[in-house]
Amino acid sequence: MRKPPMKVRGSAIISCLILTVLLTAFPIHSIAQNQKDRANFDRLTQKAWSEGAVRVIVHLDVPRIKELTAASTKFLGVDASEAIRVERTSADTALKDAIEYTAWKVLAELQGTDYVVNTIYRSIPFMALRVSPYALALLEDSTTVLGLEEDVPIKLIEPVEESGGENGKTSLTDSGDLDRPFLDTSVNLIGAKTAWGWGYTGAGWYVAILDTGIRKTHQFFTGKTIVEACFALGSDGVGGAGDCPNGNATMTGPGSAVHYSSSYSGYDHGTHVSGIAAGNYGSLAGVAKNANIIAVQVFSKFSASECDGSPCVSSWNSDTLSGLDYIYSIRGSYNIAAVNMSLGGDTRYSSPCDSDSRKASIDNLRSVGIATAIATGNDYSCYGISSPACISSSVAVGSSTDADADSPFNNWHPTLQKLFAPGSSIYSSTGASDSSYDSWSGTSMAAPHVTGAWALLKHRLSTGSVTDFLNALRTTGVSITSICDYYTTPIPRIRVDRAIASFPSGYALTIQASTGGTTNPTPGTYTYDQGTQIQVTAIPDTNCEFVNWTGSISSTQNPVTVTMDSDKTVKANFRVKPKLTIQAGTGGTTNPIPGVYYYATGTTVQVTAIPNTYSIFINWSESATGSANPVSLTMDSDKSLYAHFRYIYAPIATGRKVLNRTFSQAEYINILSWQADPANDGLDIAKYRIYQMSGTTPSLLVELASGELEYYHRNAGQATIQYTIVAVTSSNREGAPATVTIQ
Amino acid sequence: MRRMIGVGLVLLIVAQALSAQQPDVPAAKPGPQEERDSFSMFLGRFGFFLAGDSAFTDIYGNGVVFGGELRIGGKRIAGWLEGNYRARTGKSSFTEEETNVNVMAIEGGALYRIMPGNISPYVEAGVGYYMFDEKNSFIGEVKKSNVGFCGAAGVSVFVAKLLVLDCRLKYSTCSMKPADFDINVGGLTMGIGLGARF
Repeated sequence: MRKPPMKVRGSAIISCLILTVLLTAFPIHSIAQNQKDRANFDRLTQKAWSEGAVRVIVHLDVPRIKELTAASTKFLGVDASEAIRVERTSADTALKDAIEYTAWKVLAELQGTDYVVNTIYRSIPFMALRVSPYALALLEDSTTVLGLEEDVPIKLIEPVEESGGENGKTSLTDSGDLDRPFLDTSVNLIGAKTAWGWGYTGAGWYVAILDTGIRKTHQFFTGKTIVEACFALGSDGVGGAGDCPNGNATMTGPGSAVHYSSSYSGYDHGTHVSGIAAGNYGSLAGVAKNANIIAVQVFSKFSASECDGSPCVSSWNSDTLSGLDYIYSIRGSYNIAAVNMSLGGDTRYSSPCDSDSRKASIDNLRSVGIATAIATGNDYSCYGISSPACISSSVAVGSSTDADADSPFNNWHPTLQKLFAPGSSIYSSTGASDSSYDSWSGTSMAAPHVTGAWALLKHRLSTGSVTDFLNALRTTGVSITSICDYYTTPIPRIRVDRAIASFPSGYALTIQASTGGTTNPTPGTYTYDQGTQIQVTAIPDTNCEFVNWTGSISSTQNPVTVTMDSDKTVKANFRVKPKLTIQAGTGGTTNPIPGVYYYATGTTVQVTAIPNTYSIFINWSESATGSANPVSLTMDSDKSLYAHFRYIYAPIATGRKVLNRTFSQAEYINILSWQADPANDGLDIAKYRIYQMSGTTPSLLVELASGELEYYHRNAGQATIQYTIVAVTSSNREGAPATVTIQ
Repeated sequence: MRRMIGVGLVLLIVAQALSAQQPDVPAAKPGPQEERDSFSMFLGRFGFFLAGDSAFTDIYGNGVVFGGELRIGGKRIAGWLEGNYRARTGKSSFTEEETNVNVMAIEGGALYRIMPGNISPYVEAGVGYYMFDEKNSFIGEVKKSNVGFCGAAGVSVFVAKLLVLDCRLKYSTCSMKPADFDINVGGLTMGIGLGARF
C-alpha cells in the first residue's frame, strides 16, 4: 500500500490541533447554547407573555449523561438475579440522581421567578415546568439548559369513519370496495394464528399501552395480569392535582389506569387498543393472546370548550414522557415486549422529528429491547406522519386494509412509516360494558397489531433486539404500496409468522435424568433461542443424591446454566445416597437409633453406643471396629455398624456377722463375701463397689479391687444392715447389684 | 492407790504390835532366838500367773508376773504389802489384731506363820487394788481400776542369817467391767521370792 506524503499527514495534525484549541476555548454549553432554537424561544416567550406562563419540557445538560445512560440501558429484561437487580437499581439510581442534580441546579437559577415543577424525569435528561416569562428568560440564558420544547396536549388518534379523504387518498367506502376485517380476520391476516400454533402466544410477556387507560374488568382481559399507572396533569397542565383516580397527577397501582367516563370522547380508546394487542376471550383474541398488559393512562380531561364542542381527552407531552419513563423504570420487574402509543399531534412530519423529547425515552427503551409502536395518524396524509411517530427510533405503524391496501385515513410516508398493519374495522373491546365490543378503524388499531406481534416475536426470541425484529418484519412482510407515490414505494405489512420463521431455528436442549431424580425443567427436549441461558436444576429423589452433569456439560454444580449456542444434551446423574445400617445387640441402643439411614456422600456420621443400665458397650463390628465411643464414619459407601453390649451380672455374694473381741472389748464385723459371676468372664471388671443401703438410697461404703472378694465391715454393730455389691468395669460401668442382708 | 498403801502400812503396824505382845518372846533384849523369830523382810517376786478368767487366757494366755513384797512381823503374825505387775500381748478373737493388756496390783494383808523356824510355812490374806489397761489397735483402749481380794499360802526358808527364799501360791480376784464384758483380772499365781530379812 502506498503511504500518503508526510506533508499531508503534517497538515492533518495541525488541523487537529487547531480544532482542539477551538473546542477548548468554547465550552460545550456554549455550543449547546448556540444550538438552542432561537425562534422557538421567541415563540415561547411571546406565548408566555400573552398567557402569563408557558409549559415547557427542559432539556438538561446533565454531565456524563451518555455514560450514565449506557450503564443503565445495559440491563435488559427482568432482573435475572438479586445481584443483577441491585446492580441495575444502582445504575438507574445514578442516572436519576445525576438528572435530579442538574434539574435542581437549573431550578436554583430560577429562584425569584414564578415556575411550577411538573416532572423531573428519572431516565432522560428532561424536566417539565410551567414557567413565567421571567423564568423562561432565565432558562434561555442558562448554560445548563440545552433546549426547550413546549409541553402541549396531543390528541388521541381517534377512530375514523372511513369516508372522505385528502391529498389524493380516496375513501374505500366511497369506492364501495371496503372490506371490514374483524379482529379475528386481522389477527389471522398477520399470521398471528400461525404463530400461536407454533406455541408463540406472548405468554410471559407484557405489552405496555400508553393510552386512555383500560376497562380491566372487561371479559376480553379475563385472566390477565394488568399493571396500572396514570400520569395526567389535568387540563391545566400543572402538577400536583391532576386527573388520576386519586386526584393527583401521578398514580400507580391497581385502579390507577381506569378510564374516564363515556362523556369524554375517546375515553375507551385504550380498552380497544389493549384488546387488539392482547385481548383473549372465547373465540376472539388479540394478537398476543396470552400476553399481559401494562396499562398507562396518560390522557387528561379537557372540557368541551377546550375541545371541539364536546369533552375530550388529550395527553400532555410531559405525561406521555412520564409514561415512557415509568415503563423504562419497571423493565427489571416485567418482561415488556413493546410499548403502544396510539396518539399523535396535528402536525405531520415528512422528516424525522428527532428533536422531540420523547425520542430520548424511546431510545432508552429501544436500547433495552423494548419497541415503541406508534400510530402514524389518521389525517389522510400522503406527505407526513404525526408526532411522535415521526421519531426515527420508533416503529411508526400505518393502517392497511385486509386487502393489503393503504387505508385511506392513514398518514403515509415512504420512509418514516416503518410498517403497515391492519387498521380498518378492527373489532375489539370497548368501555361501555364488560362485554361490549365494536369495530373501529384507524392507525390506532394498526399500531397494537404490531405491539402484539412484538410480544409473539419476543416469545419466540427473547433476546431479539428492536432492530432485529423490525428488520424481520420488514423483510418478511407483505409489500403494500400507496397511491400517495403512485404505488411506487413498498412498505411491508407485518406477517409475524414469517418473521418468526425467518429467525434462526432454536437450539434443542435435551434434558435427561438418571434413576434417582428428575430435573427442572423436567426431562425432555426443549427448543430455546440462540444465546438463551437456561438454568437446569437437578432434583434428587428421597434418599438419592445428585452426582454430576454429563453430556454437553460436565459439572457438579447444581443448578447449572446452559447457554444455548448449539443443540445440547445434559444428563443429570443421580445415585442412591450411601446407606448406613445401624444395629444394636442386647443391652443397649445407639444414637441415631438402630435403623437404616441415607447420607450424602462424604458426610461424616457420628454414632454413639448407649448401653442400658447394668450393661456395657463392648465394641463395634462390621464397618467399624474397636471400642471407641462415639465412632465416626465417613459415608463414602454403604456401611453397617453393629454395637455390641454385655450385661454385667451381679456377683454371687453372702454375708455373716461375727464378733471380734479382746479381753474387755468387742466389735461386730459384717463379713461380705462374693464371687464373680462366671457370666462376666471376659469383662474387664476392675473393682467392686459395696454400698450400704439406707432404704433404697445407697451410700458407697468401699471400692475394692477386683481381686478382693471379701469385705469386713468393722464396727457394724448388731443391727441388721443391707448391702449391695456391684461389679465395676474399667470404664466405670456398674453391673447388676447383689443384695446381701446381714442380721 | 494411796488408800491401799495406807491399808498395807496399818496392817504392818498391827502385825508388828501383835508380834511384840507374844509372851514367849523376850522384850528387853533380843537374842539369837529373837532374830530367828523375826519375820520382817523384803522380797523380790517372780511368778507364773494363771488367769482366773478364761477369756483372758483365750486372748493372752498365761504368763509371768513380777513384784516386790515388804513383810514386817514376828514369830507368828506379820503384815505384808506387795506390788506386782503383769503385761501380756495377745490377739483379738477374730481379726487377730494385736492387743495388749497391763495389770498392776497393790495388795496388802496379814500373814500367819504356821510354824516359826528357819522353814516357816504361812498363810496370808489381804485386799488389793487392781489397775487394768487394755489396748487394741482397732477397737481402742480401756482403763479401769477396782478393789479385789487375795489369799496365799507359802513357805519362807531362811537359807542364811538374812537371806530368805520364799515359795508361794496366791489367788486373787477382782471383777470389773471396763468396756463390753464383765471380767476378772485376778487369778492364781505360783511364784517364788528371794529377799533379805531385817
